Amino acid sequence: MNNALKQIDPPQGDSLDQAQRQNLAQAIQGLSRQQLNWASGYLAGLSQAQIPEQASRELEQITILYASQTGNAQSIARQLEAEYQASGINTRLISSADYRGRDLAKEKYLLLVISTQGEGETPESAFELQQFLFGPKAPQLKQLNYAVFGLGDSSYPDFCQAGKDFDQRLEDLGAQRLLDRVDADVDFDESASEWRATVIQQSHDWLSVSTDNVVNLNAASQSIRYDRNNPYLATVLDSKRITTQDAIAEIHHIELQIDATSLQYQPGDSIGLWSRNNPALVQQILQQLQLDADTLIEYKKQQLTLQQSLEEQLEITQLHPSVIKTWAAITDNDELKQLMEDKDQLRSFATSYQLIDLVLQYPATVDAQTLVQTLLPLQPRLYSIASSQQAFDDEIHLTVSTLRYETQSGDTRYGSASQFLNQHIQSGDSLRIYVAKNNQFRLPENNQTPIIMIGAGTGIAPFRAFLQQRKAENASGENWLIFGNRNFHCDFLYQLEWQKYRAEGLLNRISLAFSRDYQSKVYVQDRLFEEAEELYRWIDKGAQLYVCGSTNLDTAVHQALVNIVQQHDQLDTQQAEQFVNNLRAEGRYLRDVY
Amino acid sequence: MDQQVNENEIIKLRSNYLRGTLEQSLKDNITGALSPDDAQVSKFHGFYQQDDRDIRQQRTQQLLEPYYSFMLRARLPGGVCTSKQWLAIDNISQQLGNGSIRLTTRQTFQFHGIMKHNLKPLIQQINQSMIDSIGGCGDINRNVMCNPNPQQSDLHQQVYEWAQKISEHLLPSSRAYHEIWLDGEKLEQPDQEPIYGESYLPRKFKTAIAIPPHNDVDIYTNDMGFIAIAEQGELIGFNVLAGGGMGTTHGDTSTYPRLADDLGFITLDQVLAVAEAIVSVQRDEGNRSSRRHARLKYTIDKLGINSFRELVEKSANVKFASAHKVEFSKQGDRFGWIKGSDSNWNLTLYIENGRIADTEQLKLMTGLREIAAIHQGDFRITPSQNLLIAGVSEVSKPQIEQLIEQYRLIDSRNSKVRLNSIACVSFPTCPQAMAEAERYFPELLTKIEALLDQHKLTDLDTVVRMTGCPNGCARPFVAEIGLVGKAPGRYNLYLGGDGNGFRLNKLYQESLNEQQILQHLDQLLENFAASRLTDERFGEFVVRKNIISRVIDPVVDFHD
Repeated sequence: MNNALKQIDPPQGDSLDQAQRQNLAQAIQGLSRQQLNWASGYLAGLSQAQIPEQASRELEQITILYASQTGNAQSIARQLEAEYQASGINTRLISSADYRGRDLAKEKYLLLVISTQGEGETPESAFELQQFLFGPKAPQLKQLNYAVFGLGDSSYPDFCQAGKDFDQRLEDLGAQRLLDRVDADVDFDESASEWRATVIQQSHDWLSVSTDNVVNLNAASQSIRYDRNNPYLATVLDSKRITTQDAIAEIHHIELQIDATSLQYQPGDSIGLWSRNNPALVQQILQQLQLDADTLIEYKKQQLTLQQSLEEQLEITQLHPSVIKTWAAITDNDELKQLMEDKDQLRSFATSYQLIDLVLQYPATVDAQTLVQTLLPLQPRLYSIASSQQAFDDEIHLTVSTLRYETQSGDTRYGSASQFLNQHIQSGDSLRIYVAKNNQFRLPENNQTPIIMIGAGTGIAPFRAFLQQRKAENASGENWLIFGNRNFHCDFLYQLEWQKYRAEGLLNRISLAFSRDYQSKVYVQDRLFEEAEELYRWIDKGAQLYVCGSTNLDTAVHQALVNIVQQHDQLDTQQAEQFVNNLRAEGRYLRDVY
Repeated sequence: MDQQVNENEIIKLRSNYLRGTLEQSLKDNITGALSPDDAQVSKFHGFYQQDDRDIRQQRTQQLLEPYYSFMLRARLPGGVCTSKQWLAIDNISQQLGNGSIRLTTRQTFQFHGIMKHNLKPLIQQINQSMIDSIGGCGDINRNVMCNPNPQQSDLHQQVYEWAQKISEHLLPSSRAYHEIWLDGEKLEQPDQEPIYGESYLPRKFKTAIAIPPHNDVDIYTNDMGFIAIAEQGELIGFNVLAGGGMGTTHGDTSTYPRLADDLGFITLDQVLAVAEAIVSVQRDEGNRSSRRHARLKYTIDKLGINSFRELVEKSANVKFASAHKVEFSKQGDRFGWIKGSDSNWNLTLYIENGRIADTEQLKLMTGLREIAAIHQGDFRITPSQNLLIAGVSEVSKPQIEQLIEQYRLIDSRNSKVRLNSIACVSFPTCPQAMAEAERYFPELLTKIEALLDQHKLTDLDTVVRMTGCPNGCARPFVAEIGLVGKAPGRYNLYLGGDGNGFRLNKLYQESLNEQQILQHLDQLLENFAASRLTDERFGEFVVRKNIISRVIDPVVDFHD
């Protein structure tokens, strides 16, 4: 931004003097693009209307704070911010990762969009904020007005727990609730847009803002922003299998072409992908239900054929408990009804089966419109980006493993998007994608900082991006990759690239764990133990740790780190936990887990 | 030498007596390969780096390195091992190799498909069975061959002992093998190599001992050969030969196969000195700039046989006496049960391609394991990569016969031509391979058998050999019909070996596909059937009829 300012060469006579320019620069320092846009509009308004006294009082700000894990909370928050643009209300959009807890005491209006992970956990990005807010140093917040939009999955026991916790805590600290909390389920689109509309409408009352004096520069000056609801059409360049035919997992390296000016991403980011369901599977479902593919149905105020809606609009491979519930009612099946009584069993059923299994095992007569209303909307899938835009400015690379499992009856079921990507797309096809920012998983700002990258399976993807970036930047920080998979010969993902990077001196150290190569299974955490001394040396010299992979990996790595620290410094478990948590709080231990 | 030495010479020199950086290479788990230098040094320790060439291209696409594995070749003088050793070899191959054992044309066995991390345990385990792999490959004296003579049992025992003595005398003295593989103590002082020096030999060096009248070791194809001379069953000395070798390079007429020259007769007390002297002259005089001209055969042609003999005599302080007259009658194995002079029985089994493995049709590996479990005598690998079960007493013979029967280890349908044939390993593992050999040869033989049948020549004892490249592991240039791989599906056809290993064959047609090979053979065999002399061999016939000209001095006439 400073650079941009310097380039402005205003006409003589009308320009600001040195001091004025400094003041202006100070005033706008740290503003986001949207805020600058708003300010420009505000200034333009001033120059036309010349009523400065009133406007200055109205610079009260609404802070939109989001705590996102998979990008949904972020996406809702960003959309809300965009919608505020037109309303002339001053907003500040910020991730919980970047938010300083003690700033809460200065806030007047706070809108919190927060998701819940797994067993009621708070997103990684809000870890530090949570520690602060729920700790003894939390300030009284009598000045604060707030509203919470929670995201979650009702099939988990602690539905929207993070949202509930924050909502309650803010109240306990003396803040005033502006709106009742919303607990949104996996099909959050509708409730999110309702909430946004309510929030914006009521904001005028909260702030008593008149928008007359703000010129909306938005439409003209801002390029199209691609997001969840406005995906970018990327072209498939290549999709090739990078595990051998006899490997257990089918993993593809996929290259997409993008326009570098339209879509920007950083190492650590993911893409959200809108995929299509497998037509053969749709066919099978229709056949089983004896429904006609061409039946016209109404979905989200559109007329579609049943086939279209099942292929493009509805979730058919992830079975949600709400669908099972409806199905239980339709079929009046005792077994299903019993299942509804036990949440754990219900969840386990939902994760082991798909719609087709429900349809096969519990046959029902259902009309097309009912079917469509029973199902949840298709959700985009997130994939960590495996490339750096510094290295491939108009490409996005992905590392995708086909999700494949067998049901108890021995049928093979596939994950919709991974099967779509690995088995159906071809070079030249278009994919609907958007960039899901992940500011909680970034390379160190100081590129001399050493990094330790711990990944298993496709968790290696962001680390490929990291190394590309560090190479492009000529970063001098040391790089250590710790990677695990099943078999050295079959699924050592990107082996040739790591070999090249090591030969070039970019990859300083690599530790590998292939669990199926030896009689006793060796995992990433075992390597951590073996190389504990070296690991400690790296942490001592300021290395930043990254973990990417499954939640199992995450837990195992966390435990290994605690044990290593405990042994090394002869601490008790609690102190060791504290040490590791401090690493997290300092942003030196970052995780991207799924 | 004013010419620059080749890359391998530099690698040997800087290897610090065969240590290289093998220990680091073994620890480096980002690759299944060794460092390029170590991949050369490893040969002296008995193993080769290979990769599955069938999937090399595909793996590059998958961003994976080639599927590397290792082939380890044991040192097994005379091809003799005990039943207990056989069981150990079998077990090691199941646990640490690819589950098969490959018998070789140099009377030893190879394990294939060894992963890098399994090399050390494997080498430790064979050493626990008193077998090592030192000099299995590399620019050094290789496994010493010795006729696995089933009849003259007493003489075989005497000669076999010399195979062991020569092999051990020519072992490198470097402690590298013990340090790296057997966790031997690291030497404090610099290592030394009194016979070889720190850059070893310019090229591989092959030694064999023959017991007339059997030339199954193809004695004339070795760098150094000893022909056993006995009087009344007592070994008295050897005729010494030098300068044989098979390897050539396609399209380079300065390379050629060559049969060894006679140096003369020596007595037993002179054997080790002469062996060491021949090695020393080659060490000092061999070509170290061009590897394809580095075998002893080229050294001798450069020096002239008389000068060479003088250098050896001087170095060994020995005068060669005139060679004793010997006669050889046959190149191949003698199959079936044969009673030895010690009254024990010996059974030679035909092993297709020398490959010991279990298949759906034939549980060869299991059958041999069962035999080894009860067999009191020993096993001998033959120079045609077959297997001799030796020293079976009259009493235990029925037991062995029962197992042979049970596992159908003798197939009476095998034709004579098949029993006399040899093919090398070639694809997919051999890095030199240009065309298929082991995987394809049995199928081609079936078609050649059909031709022989058609021309009523089924009883013919013809030696047919195939290799996937011109390096000549199956000794194709002394076969009556030699097929040498040129490119996938293409072979050079050589004709005119004499069936005893006394005469080189010669190129008849180049780059033939299967159909062309069969067309040519069909015509030749038709001709042969029509105008064959009594008992005349095919190799003799083609030379007599001037279909191919006789090779007398390969330097002059192999390529003309």
